[in-house]
This record gives sequence, structure tokens and C-alpha cells, in this order.
Amino acid sequence: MEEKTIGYLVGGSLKDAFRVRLTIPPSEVQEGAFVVLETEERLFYGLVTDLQLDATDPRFADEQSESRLPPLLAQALHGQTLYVNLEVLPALMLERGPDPASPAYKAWREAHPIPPTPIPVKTVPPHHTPVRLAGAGDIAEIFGKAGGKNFVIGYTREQGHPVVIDLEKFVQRSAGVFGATGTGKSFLTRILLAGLIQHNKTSLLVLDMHSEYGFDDIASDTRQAVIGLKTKFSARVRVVGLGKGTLIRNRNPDFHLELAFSEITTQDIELLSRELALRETAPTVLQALEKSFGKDWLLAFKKMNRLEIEELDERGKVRKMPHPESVAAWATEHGVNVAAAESLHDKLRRVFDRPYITENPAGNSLDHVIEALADGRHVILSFGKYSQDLDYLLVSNVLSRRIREKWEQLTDAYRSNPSKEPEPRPLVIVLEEAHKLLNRELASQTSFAQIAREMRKYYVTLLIIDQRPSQIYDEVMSQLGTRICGWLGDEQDIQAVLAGLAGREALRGMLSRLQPKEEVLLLGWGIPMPLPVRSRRYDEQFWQELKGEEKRRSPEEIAAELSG
Amino acid sequence: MTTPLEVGRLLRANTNGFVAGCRVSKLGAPAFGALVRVPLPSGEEIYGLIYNIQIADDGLVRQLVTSENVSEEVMRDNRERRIVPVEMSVLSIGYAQNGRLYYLLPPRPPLSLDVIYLCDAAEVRRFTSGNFGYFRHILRAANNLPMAELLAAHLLQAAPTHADQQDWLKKAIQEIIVLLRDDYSNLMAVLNALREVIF
Amino acid sequence: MPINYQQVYSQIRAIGAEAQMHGQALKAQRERARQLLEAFAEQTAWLRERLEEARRVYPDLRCAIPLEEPLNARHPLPNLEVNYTLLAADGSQIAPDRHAMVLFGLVNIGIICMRRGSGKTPETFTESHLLFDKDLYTEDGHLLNESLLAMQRDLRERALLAEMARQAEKPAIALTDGPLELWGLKEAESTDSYRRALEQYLHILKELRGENVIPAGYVDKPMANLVVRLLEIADLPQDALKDLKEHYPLRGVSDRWLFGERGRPLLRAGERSAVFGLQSRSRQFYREEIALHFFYLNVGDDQHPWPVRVEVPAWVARDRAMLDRLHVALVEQCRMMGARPFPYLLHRAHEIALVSRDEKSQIETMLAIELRGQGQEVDESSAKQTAKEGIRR
Repeated sequence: MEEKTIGYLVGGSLKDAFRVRLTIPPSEVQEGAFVVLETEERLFYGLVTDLQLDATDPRFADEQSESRLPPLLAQALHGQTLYVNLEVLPALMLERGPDPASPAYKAWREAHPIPPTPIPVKTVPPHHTPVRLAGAGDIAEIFGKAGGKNFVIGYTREQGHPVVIDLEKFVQRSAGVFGATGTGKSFLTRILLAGLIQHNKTSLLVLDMHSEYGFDDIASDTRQAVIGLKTKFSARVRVVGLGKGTLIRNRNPDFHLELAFSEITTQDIELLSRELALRETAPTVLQALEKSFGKDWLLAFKKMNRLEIEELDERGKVRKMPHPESVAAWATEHGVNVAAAESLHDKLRRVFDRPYITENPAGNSLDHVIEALADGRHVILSFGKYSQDLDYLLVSNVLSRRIREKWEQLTDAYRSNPSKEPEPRPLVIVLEEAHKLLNRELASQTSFAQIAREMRKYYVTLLIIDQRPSQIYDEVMSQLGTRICGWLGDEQDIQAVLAGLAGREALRGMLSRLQPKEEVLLLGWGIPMPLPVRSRRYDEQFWQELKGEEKRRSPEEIAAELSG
Repeated sequence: MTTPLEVGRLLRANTNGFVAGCRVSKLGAPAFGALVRVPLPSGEEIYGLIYNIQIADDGLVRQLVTSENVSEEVMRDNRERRIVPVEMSVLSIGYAQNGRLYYLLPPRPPLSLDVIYLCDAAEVRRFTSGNFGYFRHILRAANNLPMAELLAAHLLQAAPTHADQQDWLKKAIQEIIVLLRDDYSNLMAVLNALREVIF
Repeated sequence: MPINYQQVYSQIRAIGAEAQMHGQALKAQRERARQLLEAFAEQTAWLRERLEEARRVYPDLRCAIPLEEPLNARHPLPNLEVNYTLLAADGSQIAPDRHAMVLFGLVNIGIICMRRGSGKTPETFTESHLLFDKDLYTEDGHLLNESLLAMQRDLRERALLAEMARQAEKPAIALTDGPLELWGLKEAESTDSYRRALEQYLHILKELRGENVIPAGYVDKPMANLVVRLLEIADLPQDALKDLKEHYPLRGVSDRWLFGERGRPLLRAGERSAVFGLQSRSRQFYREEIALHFFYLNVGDDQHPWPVRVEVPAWVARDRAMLDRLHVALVEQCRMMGARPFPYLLHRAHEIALVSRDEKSQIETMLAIELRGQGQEVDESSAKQTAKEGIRR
């Protein structure tokens, strides 16, 4: 378990980085390596952020002495005069206390009844402190041991030690999975979701825009079969299809989601302003509609016609009149600009015609979804054929609003009477293509920005999956606790991901040099310290390992979970 | 043990080093870079490296070199019978006292006519088995002696006395590089000289 | 050491002025000497007769005796194989010094023997003889002086040289620095010690005959003008012989000039002159086989001739082969030394024999320590000695 020394500390500062003289060939250490500086009192954990070639005198570097000197001499010379310095970003330190074999240890233990935990680095180790690569033990010390809430997300790049994330911490705040297209975001998301389902302390609502998470799928690039979550967690996962009779991957979902007209508010429509190309006058019209019809405004508006009737006036002249049930008639009656109302009526036709919006939704499917989530089931809402942005925006927003209302209510109940009311089950809403809902323009209007900002108090958080993090509203980005980031090519995206983190400069380079397919950088509040890892593969072995963990659980646990 | 090889007697000395004289005919024994020792009557033993061997001239020799040819007999006479000594300059690099070696300058120099012995292999090994602290004296004297050549000669002579020659050489070179790494020109001079020692 | 340079300088100027006048005269004298040499070159028999008469008038006469060869004969360097043994001896001495802590004397003899052609290292030998207590006094009670000590030294040197020469591989040349005759002050000649020494020496010389050993005395930069003196006698009318003692018409002309005029020497590089007998007061002792003879030898070159006098006993003078061998050996020895010709081996003998001042004081100290160790009283250096040493530093 004892890792070999790779160098010793030669300088640096807390502000910049530690400088470590490398004593092994540089090929054995990579940028991003997790290293440990070991003093008698403390362990300092850090991340290699740069490797620098240097020489005691530049002339030693300039001269190609290997051609002039025999190998033994050249090696000895280079060993002493040419060297590589590591730049190590200090992340955490851990009090060790005295040697457990020493008498002082007992006193120290009494003074520290709770074993110290890693804390941010507040001091520097002395010069010449030996530096080694982190071993499995160190990684476990910092990130935790695999098992239970600690879920293996990947492996260290040099030695393949497993690295876990704390799933409970992960869901306490909103999180993000980023990476350019093709960097394996959706596989990583599957892994994470599988882990969360497996751990089973959280409910998931996956807004599955492309219907790829529920049932088995074929990978777009490799043409390999990709196992869906429903396949593996049949009992706990509900695949919900949007709209009556919708087939998802040619299979029947567990149930269908239909929305009642009454569930769509005028705000939901305002949210679609751009999508529907609404005029500036639309809000006024919507306000009037709501005022006249209450929550049934949409259905009422839909039922209005655009007819005119001919009527003879007192003078016997045929006069065209708006049909009493027409938009114009309503507008006139309520002092609304007719043209504006008619324009809105035209534009909303797309909404009126959505088949999943019905007057009497079968079985109140929206409630079903909410109930299932509150019950600890996981819902994968597949949009099936309704994969326009309009559908996504509208349904997501309606759903999230309902969820918010429900969880606020549950939480308030629990808070006011914790002994009787159950603690609400944490819920994670998984958003694909999150920038569509969380861009600067919309963020203030959708429920998601609010969820991201405030809902963690109410046990609801977001898991944002996106390839363009720079498109997401800064305020939302800065709320993200855990960020799991694959390779990003765009400088703005990189900056967005690193917003609000320490050591951005060092991390930026690391992010741009990740292997596009294999590697991700773990960042943020939910991660003890930034660390690049080789991501876990979503394959048969993954499932075997995951299910293996389940088998190890006691029957009581399983029973408790099933009954829950 | 074989009888110690006497290389000469002391002509003059100071704490930094000393000059030994010997007949030309004895010149076969000492070599540039050789480790020598001078046992003192007080029991200490001073160690040094020969860094210069000087053949002095005098009026007669100067006269002889101007003649057309010098006969074999005259040559031998001058080398073996005449009293013009060969002078060997020795750099003090340590001493032994009560069986302990110090890589320090001796507390006092040897005295006139003290006998200077060539160290045998075992003595060389014993002296050079420490931490190379004595290199310090060579570097310190860099302006007064051919440092690069002296180091190379010393390594060449001392390495074979060690069981693991290569290992000893490696460590010695390592030490030299550490001591000289801030002095590019001197270090390169030494390394270039060591090229002759190491292949 | 303060010198009144003002005074010395005036004197030097005066000498210079006089030298200029002398220069004119000297030129004429040299011309004359050269003429005489040519004129009398073949008149050797006549000259010998003339010399006989002169000696009757003036027995202490010191000059060259012509043999059968013409006076101006020249012998080029013989072409001989280099294969001989050469021995050279020299000595040094420390005379007792009444200012020193301990009264002692030292005679130090150095001998070197080189076998030319062998490629072997020469052998060297040093004999140091300490004189102490009664050794330091003559039989009539005088403290030994420098010249007495020198005589002892010379005798010892030659005795050792002869002994080693006899043992050496033959042919052997035994070379000493300076005249072959044992040197002594005129006043010492009457002493018993001198006579005894001389007898011993003569015996040594005689014994060398028949051993195939060539004894020779090498006189570098000779000052005696033996041949010029002969010419002066030749030039003197017979009836004026009685005035011989005051007759020096060629004073200033030297044998060295005569045989080695710079630029056009009589003796070309490597050449030797005719052999002459040596007329001197000591001729009474060195008789017959060991009668002293000499020749001049130009060990320099034509541009810088360097005539030296080489003294040999009669048996060598008569033996052409021995002369040639000696001739070759000396030229070779001198040429080894490059620009300043001097026999290499003589230089070496001198080097070996020399006692330095340090060595002298070391001996003095050793003696003093030994004497004190034996409970003897040791005097201190005189105040004068201490002061002198102070100046030296």
C-alpha cells in the first residue's frame, strides 16, 4: 500500500502552488495526478497541475551533453542539473497525530476523540517533504471507501485506484455533468443514475428528451446495445410516455402522461414567447384571459372561435359581428385589443393542438407522476415523438412547478411536525440539454432556476446535463455543487464550468487536456478536491459490480426498501 | 602485507599541503593523482593527493641540454646520482587520528624529512570509502592545481580498489556533480576529463 | 657593505684610460709573439740549449720546454671509438675556524667514475674525513691552515683516484681539476709534512705507470704563460740571460691568446697543441717517467676558442695513443656541457665533493650535541661569528 516517493517539496505557496522536484522519470507522473505530501504531523493532498522542465544552469539544458559524454556521466549530470518540477495545487490536509506506536498517541487520541477529517490546506509542509502518488488508502481517506453512499465514479489515471463520489452529498445540491458532444456524457449519466437508483435514497425524475434512459437502446456511435435503467431496475423505475398511446422504443411505457388544460398557466405560455414568437402584447392578453377564466383560461381560449356572424341592425343593414363565442367578442367585452388577442389565439394553436393536453386526462397522470416520485419510485419521462423544444419546455415547466408545490408542502409539513410527518424523499430532476431551460433569457421564468437556487431546502435538486455550459445562466452554474466534466473544447464552456472554484487557472489546462472519451474531472463542493479520473465504463461489468453490491446487502435492507 | 612503498621525504609543508622530494630514480613509484600518507611521530597520519610533480633543473642540466647530444651515461648520472630532487606537491585532504579518518586539514603539517609513503590498495579503499568529503579540498584549490585532471586521475586510481567499482565511481561522480553544478565551466571541464575514466 | 663608489669609479676610469694606451702596445707585443712563434717553431733543439743556459742562471724559471715537435704544431681531434673509463676527483675542505663552537676540520673527497660506451650509470663515491683534536695541528703545533689542509686534501684525492683508477676497467683516464703537481706554498715546501706528502704523491704517480691509466690535470682558463715565456727567452740575446728576471717584453700576451685568438685561433676547434715539458722549480721532484708535460687543447670552437692546459706525466706525453685517448675524452666531456666547455665529470666530482654551508653547520651541531652528550664542555660561537651570521641572513 505504501506508494513510492516521486519527489520532494522545494518551494511554492498556498496562493500559487507547491513546487516539487521530481525524482522519477516524468513519464511516470501525469498532470492531474493525486499526490500526497507526508510530514510527521500531517498529510497534504494535492493535484499535479503542471510539469516544468528546468536546469540548475541553462547551459546544462542547452548543451546536448549526451552526445559528448558517456552514458553514465551524462545520466549523472542530467540527474543533478536537469530536472522536472511538478506544480502541485494543494487541496486538503489531514492531521495525523503522533505515531500510533508512540506513547504520545494516546494523549493525542484523547484530545481528538473524533478522528480528524481532511480540511482545506491552511499551512505549508516544510521544505523537502517527500511527495508520493496517492495510494488507494489516501483516495479512500479523502473521497471515501467504495460502498453504501460512496459510489465509484472512476479510477485514478496513474494507478487505477477507485474514486468514489458521495451520493448523498451529490444530491444535496444541484449538480452538473458536462462535456462536449461525444465525450460520453449520457453514459456517465446512466452510471450516475444507476448508482442513485441502486443507493435508493433519492427519487429521480429524468426528463428524457430523446427517450434514451428508460429502455434498452443502441448507442449512436458504436451501434452497441445499451441497457436501459428500466431493464435493470424494473420495480423501481417507471417509464412514462408523454401523450396517450405513445410508444417508447416500440414498447409500452408504464403509463402515459397527459396534462389537463387547467394545469397550464399563463406563465407557462409566457415562457414559450420565443418558441411561439409571441408579440409584445401577449402578456396583456394572457392576463385578461386569466382574469376572465381563472385556471381554465386555456381551454376557454381554445374553445373560442374566430367566426363572425351577420346581424341586421336597427336600420336593417347587415352588419358583421364577432361571434359571441369568438375571440373578438371576448376581447371586445374585456377591453382587450382584438388583433392582439387574435394573434395570440393563432400562436397558441400549436399548444391547443398538443395531443397530450386534454380536457380530462386519464387517471390524472400528472398526479401519478408526483405520487410515484414522492413514494420513492423513479420516473423517466420519455417525450417520445413530442420532441420539439415546445414540448420539452412546456412539460418540464409544468411538471417542475407541480413538483415544487408538492415538495414545498411536504417539507413544510415535516418541518412543522417532524415527529409525525415523514421527511420528504429527496428528489433529483435530471435535465438533458439543460441550456434550453436554463439560458439567460428563460432562467428567470422557469421553475428550474428557482429549484437550482432554492429548492435544496425542499429536498429537490437538479442534475444538469449539457454540452454547452456557457449557455447556462451563471447564477445557476454557480449553484452547482458537484461538477463532473469531460473534455471541453470551448474556452467559454471551460470558464463556465470552473466558475466560482479555487485554482481555476490550473484546472483550466487540465480540463482542456482530458482524454476526450475516457476521462472526466471531478470538481466542486460535492467533491473533496478536484481530481481527474478515468471514468467508469457503462457495460456488462458495471452492472455485475453494481448488482453484486446489492446482493451483499442484507435482506432486511432490501425488504425495507421494497416496502418504502 | 607488503612493505610500504616509500616515495620520498618531506622538503617543506604547510597545513594545506606539502612538498616531498625524491631522487629521480625513484620516480617510478608516485604518480599524479596518487594517494600518499605521511605518518607523524605523534601517531597521526596525514593523507594527500599528489597534484604536481616537478623536475627541477640547475645550471648543469641547463648546460647539458644545450649540447649536441647527451650520452646515456650522463643521462643516467643526472637521473640517478645527482642531488637535484624530484619535487612532488601534495594536497592535504585528510588525516587519521586514533584510528578515525577525518576529511579535514591536518592539525599540523608534517615535518622536514618525514617519510612519505604511497598508499596501497587497501589504504586507498579505506580512505575513499567515506562520503567523499575530501573532494572539498580539491575544489577549494581549483585555482592552484589542475582540478579536472586531478579528480580524473584520482578516480582512475581509486575505483579499482573497490569491490563494486562502477558503484563507487557512480557515487563519486554524483558527488562531483552536486558540488560543482553551479559552476558550469569547471564541471564540464571535470566531466570531459572523466570521459577518459568512464566509458 | 658600504663602498665608496666615488673612489672606485675614479680608479676604474683611470684603469680604462691606461688600458687604451696598453691596447696599442699590446697589439705590437702580440704581433711580435706571433712572429717569434713562427720563427722559432722548428728551432726546438736550439731552444732547449738556450733554456738549459737560462736555467743555470735562474733555476726557478717557469716555462715550456719544447720537445721534438715544432712549437706551433696542431693535432686535430683523433677519430677514436668512444670506449674508455673516465674518473674524476675533486675535494673540498673545511678549515678549523676558531670562531666556531667546536674546532674541527673536514676533508671531503668526491670521485665519479663513468664507463663511456657502456650505457651504465656512473658510480660515485664520497669520502668525508673529520679532523678533530690533534689532527688539527701540525707537528710544530700550528693550527692547520687552508693551504695545509688543501695539500692534505689533494693528496687524499689523488690517492683515492689512483686507487679507483687501478680497479677500473681499462683504458682509464684519471682526471683532476688543476695542475697535476701537488700544490704547495713555497714556504711549506721545506716542511716535513709537505715532503712526506710529496713523496707519497710521487709514489702514487709512479705506480700508475704500467696500469694503462692516464692521469691528467685539467687547467681551465690557464694563467701561466709558459710558451710566451719560452719565446721571450728565445728572443733574448745570450749575453742578456742574466737579466732574465727583469725581461718581460711580451707581458700581456698570454698563452691563451697565442693558441686561442678569438676568431682565428691557432688551435682550431678540438685541436691540441704540441706537447711541451714543464720547466719549473718542482722539476727536481717530478723526474723521468713522471716528469710533468702539458699541451694546450681548444675545447671551444673557432669563434669562441677556449684553450685549456692539460698536464700529463712523461710516460703519457710520450705515448701517442694515450695522448689521443685523452684528447678525445676531454673534448667529448667538454662538448657535453654545451656553450661553457668544461669536462662534465670534473663538474660532477666537484658537485659531489662540495660541502655546503648548511652541511657545515649541521656537522658542527652534530659534533656539539655529541660532545655535550658526553659531558664535554662546548664553547659558544664567538661574538664575531654570530654577528657575521646575522649579516648573512
